[in-house]
Amino acid sequence: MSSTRTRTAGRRAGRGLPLWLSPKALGIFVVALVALYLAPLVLSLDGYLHNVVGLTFMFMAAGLAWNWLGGYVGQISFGHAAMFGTGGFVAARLAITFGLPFWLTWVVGGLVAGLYALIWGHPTLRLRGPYFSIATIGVGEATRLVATYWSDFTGGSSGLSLPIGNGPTKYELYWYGLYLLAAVVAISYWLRKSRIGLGLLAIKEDVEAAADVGVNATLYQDAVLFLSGFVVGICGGFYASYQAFIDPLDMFSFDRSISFVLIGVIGGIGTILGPAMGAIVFVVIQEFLLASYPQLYLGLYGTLLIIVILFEPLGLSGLLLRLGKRLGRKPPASTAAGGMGSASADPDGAPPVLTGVPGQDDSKGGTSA
Amino acid sequence: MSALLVGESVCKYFGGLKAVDDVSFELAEGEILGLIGPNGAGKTTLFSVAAGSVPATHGRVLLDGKPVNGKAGYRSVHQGICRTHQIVRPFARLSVLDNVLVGHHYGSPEGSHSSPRDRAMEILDFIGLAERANQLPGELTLAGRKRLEVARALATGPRVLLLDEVVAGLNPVEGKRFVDLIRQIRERGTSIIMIEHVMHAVMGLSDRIMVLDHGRLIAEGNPQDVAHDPQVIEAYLGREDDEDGETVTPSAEERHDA
Amino acid sequence: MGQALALAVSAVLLAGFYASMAYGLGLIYGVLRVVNLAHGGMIMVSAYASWLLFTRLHIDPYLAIPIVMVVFFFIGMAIYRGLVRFLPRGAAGGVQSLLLLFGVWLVLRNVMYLLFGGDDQAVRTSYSTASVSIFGNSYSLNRVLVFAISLVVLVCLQQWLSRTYTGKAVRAVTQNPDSSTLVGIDVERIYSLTFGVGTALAGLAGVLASTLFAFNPSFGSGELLKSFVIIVLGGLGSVVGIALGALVLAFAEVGSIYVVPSYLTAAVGFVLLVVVLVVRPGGLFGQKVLR
Repeated sequence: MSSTRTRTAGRRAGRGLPLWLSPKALGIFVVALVALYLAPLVLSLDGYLHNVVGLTFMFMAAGLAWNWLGGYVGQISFGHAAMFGTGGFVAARLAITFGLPFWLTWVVGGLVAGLYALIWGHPTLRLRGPYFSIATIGVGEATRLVATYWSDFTGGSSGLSLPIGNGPTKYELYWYGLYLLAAVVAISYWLRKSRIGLGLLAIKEDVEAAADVGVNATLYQDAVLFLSGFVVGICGGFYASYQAFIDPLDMFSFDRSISFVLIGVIGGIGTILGPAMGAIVFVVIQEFLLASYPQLYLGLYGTLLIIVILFEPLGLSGLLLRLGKRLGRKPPASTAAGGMGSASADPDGAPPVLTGVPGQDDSKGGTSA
Repeated sequence: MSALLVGESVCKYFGGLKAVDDVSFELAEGEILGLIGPNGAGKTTLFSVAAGSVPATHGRVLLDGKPVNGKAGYRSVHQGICRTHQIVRPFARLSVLDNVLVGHHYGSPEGSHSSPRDRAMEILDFIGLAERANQLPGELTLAGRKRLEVARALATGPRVLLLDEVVAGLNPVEGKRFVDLIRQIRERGTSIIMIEHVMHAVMGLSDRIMVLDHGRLIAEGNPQDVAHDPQVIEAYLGREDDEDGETVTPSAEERHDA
Repeated sequence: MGQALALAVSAVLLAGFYASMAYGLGLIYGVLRVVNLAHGGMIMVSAYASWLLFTRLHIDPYLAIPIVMVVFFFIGMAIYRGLVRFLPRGAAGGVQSLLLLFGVWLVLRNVMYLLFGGDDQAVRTSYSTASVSIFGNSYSLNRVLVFAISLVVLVCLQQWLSRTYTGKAVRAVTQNPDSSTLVGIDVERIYSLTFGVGTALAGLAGVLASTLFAFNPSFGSGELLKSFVIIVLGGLGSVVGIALGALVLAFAEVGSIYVVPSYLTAAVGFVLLVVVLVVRPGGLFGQKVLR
């Protein structure tokens, strides 16, 4: 056993990569990034489809950022529209009033959104489980009301239109969406695999026990919420650029908050691939199915939610996992972090062991080396 | 020997209940201090105060002359004091190794070790769980989970380890192994305060013993003297009628925990 | 002074409705440790039921109460048996049941939307505009009736919980499900019964709401949050606690017109919710056990 360990550590160190970063993951990441960067240039997609893919990147990023809080720390937020709207409106205001470059408006919007998250999050993150979730509903709704009536800033129910030519076109936004997504995937991976990820999992499992071994739960939860709010705020700015018009009834709506929950839960809470797949499902339903049946969307999402919770709490990534097992592959380690709530009471739902059975370890190390 | 951990007139009240009432104590470097007393005597509450997870109502606890602050439990771990729980609380969905790694990564302020996994495996080796490093805590026996709880605490690199009933509930063979383990932990340079109901374990291990009853310190001294102290005998026997002499045998609740 | 008195009576009348609205949520949480996020949806559906009975069958909403409550009792049992039963209870299932019942809520909203469209509906009876004079101020008859009915139902509920065998069993399960099993209580039956009673109370709240407010399929989220504020404020298990919680919320809302612009009155409840949750973390139901 011990020889495998030293060998692994030595190999990683030899390549100059941090311990948490596997060369394989880095490879997949780079290849996917290059492929997606070049795809529109090579494939010459239909213009509408191209734009929708760009929007999907944004929803993936937002879903992943929601998942940092919902999946990694286990705090389900029903109030992320508050940050989405804040980011969007701060960005739009900066573009309209000061004519700042779009990327700067996004970043500032994200920062303001992150700070706003911190203001309400620092006190409420002490609550766990349903209490936190319910508090976020309150935060989201209060924010929506204030934003709707603060018409000097948000334009009230008539909303804000962005100056023409300020930001990139929908066509160009594809690539900005891709950059945003790439950064968010990288952060997700880092949060998951680095030692910080371990601390977050410990908090998710048992806050008090985590504090007993030295984890500063308050700091970590605050930091994750800030980061999550920051990214969702940037997504709000992206959305404002994409639509060129935003109104508070849409940006701050409860349905908007729900969409982040749905993306995370349907895709597979606590995983990296999950929210990405969830976003695809979400956008496909929204753009293609609901274009013909707009009155069905809530029921459809509700039904999906019920089905996922009852039959596959790990969502689409759980389905993939089962499929992988069927095909005889070992489950990837990251799924041990999936699922919701604390694990103590659902032994059946306990995910597979991190790296398999001891003793098989050497053979496994042998095959991959 | 100089005192490493000092409690100065520690009091902890919950409303009108004086869970810990004016208890002073000292723990010397390399010492094992036993803490005994009937159920509800305030032992675990004293632990919580000493570990900094609960603030004292009056009085204070000093580690190396620096106060252990009850406002944020994680900080006292960085100071070098770590506790275990009577009812074990492993991170259920993390592997045994990862449980220990959490303690290692977050236990000390400077944290990092050049190869954390090696260090964690070393601790698991020492504690006797190396072969089970990749299992989930739920797959271990109660004794295994108690070992894991101690391993995780040891991984934080504590100077003072607070052990809350780690022997109770184990069968005699496991109990004896655990007694040896605790002795080895002390030999590695960690000072220990242990709460224990299993008398032969605490009597055999401790350099000194403190007896709490109704939150108050009623006796203190070497194991033999304490065992023959009339006040101590009264405290235990006086409760024997209504508590079925739980004090000497493993308590029933611990068995349920398995 | 006269205005303050008028507002105070207003607040008390409102509190009666709030208490009956919150009790169903509190009961289900107390016994099953499940936050029924579909509670607001149930209130909304029941308001439609009342409207339907009134406009199609000309049944007065107050006479419709028993019918609606019985139907909702069985709907609640069905939701428990068909969905909630399969989830782990307590801390582990907390998030799952939250999301599951949230899904139920979304479906309910959509079904009502498909059936009746998104327009506001209201129940207008011949006495909708009638008023009653209290301390020299006049109040709408509906508000007084709603208050009275809420009071009666809450007292009945309290008697049921403290006097009957089943009521005592419900309270026992609230305290400790494991021990209840040991003494021979069929815990599963109590869970399903409680979900039924809690949902029937949502049904009651919905009918009462239909006489006071206009509603549409998205009605109910405010009611859900307010219910939550009340049980966090007032605790579980006692009608008195719920009533006090309801009074605090009602007075805060009514009194807020002195402090904030009227369009923000609705936000008062949300802010109060967050403040209460933070000041009393874990709420009044989740007492921290210190050893």
